[in-house]
Amino acid sequence: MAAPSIYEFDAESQMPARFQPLAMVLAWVFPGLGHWYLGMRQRAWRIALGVLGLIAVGVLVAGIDAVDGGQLYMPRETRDGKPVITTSDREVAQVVGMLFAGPVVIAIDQVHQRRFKVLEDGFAGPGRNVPVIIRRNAHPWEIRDPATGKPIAVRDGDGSPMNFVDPSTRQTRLSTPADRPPNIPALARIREIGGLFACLAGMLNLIAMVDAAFARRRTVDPDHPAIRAALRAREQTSGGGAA
Amino acid sequence: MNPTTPSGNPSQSVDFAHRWFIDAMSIHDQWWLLIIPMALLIAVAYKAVRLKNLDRYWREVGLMTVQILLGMAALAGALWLLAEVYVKQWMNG
Repeated sequence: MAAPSIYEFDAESQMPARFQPLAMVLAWVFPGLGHWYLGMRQRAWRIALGVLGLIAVGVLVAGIDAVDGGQLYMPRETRDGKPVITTSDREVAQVVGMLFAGPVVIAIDQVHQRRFKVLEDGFAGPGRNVPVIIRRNAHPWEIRDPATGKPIAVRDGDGSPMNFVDPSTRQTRLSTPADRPPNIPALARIREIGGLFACLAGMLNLIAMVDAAFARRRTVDPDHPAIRAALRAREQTSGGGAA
Repeated sequence: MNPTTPSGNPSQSVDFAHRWFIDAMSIHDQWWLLIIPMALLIAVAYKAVRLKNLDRYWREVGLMTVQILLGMAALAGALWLLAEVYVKQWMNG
């Protein structure tokens, strides 16, 4: 039989219902970490497995494009005196859902934005007369200049190779199949499914965050340092009350 | 800006080697199989939060996975029937 938890000990003092903001924040920082902090280690790794598994399958299926926050939370940025506008095809609600999965998703998104997307000169504003730099996914006929992030067309409209200036050697040459875009974004259903997996991961982690914030009576590890300390404090309190 | 390709799609004429976790997989015919890992992973995370004790955890995960799959299959069947029987009859007057 499993050992009783601190929450079972403290059920009468209503400690289980106490709001645990730190556990909630930790649950967002990394899936399962909030429960780990509360001593619920068996739950913690299972939550991490489910949430991170959903993200992993989403990225596996739809590629790194499964996570694409666009301009939603990107810091303000200028290049060559022009504001950078990050584009995304993802629905805002879907991206907000993903963000509940925490910094793991943000890290994937930042790698996607900064290492895979290309930076192209363009115009924005009501009259399309404000010069900007547009950060977007590379087209299948483009490669990314690793130094500047700018797109370089290496194929023509029917996919035939064409001459281009190789950014690494600065020599003009004919493109080969090795000259490829940084990533192949998903299309149609696969794209939607990839985003759905990542969004579901965020929604499930939100449930885990709320659960960690309002921990209920549970079987937890009584040897956890935080639980031991809480038990000791409780014993001292009740001992003092009796004296 | 949409990365979808124009007519004469170069991505189809150039056979790029697939890179795991970077490029999208080409599983446009088997996409529906993805409901299995989706249901399983939802059950793994949800039951870890929901169950009062974890003694019967994996059994509960299996049960919830099957429930999701059967529920989705039933929904798909019901919608197919609706489209085939009701909508077709309605369209035919």
